[in-house]
Amino acid sequence: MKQGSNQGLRFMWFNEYKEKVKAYNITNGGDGTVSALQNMLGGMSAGCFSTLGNNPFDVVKTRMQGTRAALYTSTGDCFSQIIKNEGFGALYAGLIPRLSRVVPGQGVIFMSFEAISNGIRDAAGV
Amino acid sequence: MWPLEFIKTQLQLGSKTNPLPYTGMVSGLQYTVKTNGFLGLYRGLAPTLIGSIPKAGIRFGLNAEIKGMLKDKDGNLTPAKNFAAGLGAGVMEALIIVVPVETVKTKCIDMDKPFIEGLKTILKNEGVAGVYQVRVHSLHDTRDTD
Repeated sequence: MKQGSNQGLRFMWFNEYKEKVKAYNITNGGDGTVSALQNMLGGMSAGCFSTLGNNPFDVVKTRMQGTRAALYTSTGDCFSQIIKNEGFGALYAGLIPRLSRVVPGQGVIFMSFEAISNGIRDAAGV
Repeated sequence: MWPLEFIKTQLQLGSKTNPLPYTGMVSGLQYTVKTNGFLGLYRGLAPTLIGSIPKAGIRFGLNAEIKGMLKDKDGNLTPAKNFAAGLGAGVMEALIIVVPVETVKTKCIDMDKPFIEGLKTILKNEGVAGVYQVRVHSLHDTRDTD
């Protein structure tokens, strides 16, 4: 659940972003290419978006792996107990350290991916 | 990067039944260094590092094994069968390695105990079941990066 939602959100966001930036570059007199810096910013925002989306799953996973896991009978029960006893905000515990790690990492990954695939495309002449 | 994983786990474990002596990332990191020393930030790293060694071995070994079983008599493999071999290896990797490693990591951080001592405590209190929690979640979580 966690991993599936993560990758799905990330790629959806990044593709949307690329289209927007292309259009922006063209209206500002450039051609349709997206710069490395723009790709990095896109990757960082994609990391941000997916981390926000799946933090609740990460909290539930950690709780069910902890020493008080016996408090919860299932994944669903863990979700509802956290919301009932601690409020919705508790599902966002640990968000800041996760963001500090994921955001720069994803920025670099997406920038490298775009640079490498452009390089291959040029080399192949397509 | 590990101190961020450490403090994330601590903040997520904090609740009314398990109140934390700090409220955020920075104060949590400072508190840990003050009470347990700098190395306290690396609690839980040992099981994760040790677990990552057999992880890659199982992934690639099983992938080759399943491919061998799915090949037709000419030794060819369709893309679908290739995908199945990858999926099978990933699922087995999660079941055999990722779930126990993640669970031992989280419990070592929770109990503030080093790897071997933590593992002994888990086995004594909960038996083997104590290292096999949340199968459903971690099945999708073989990357173990965030």
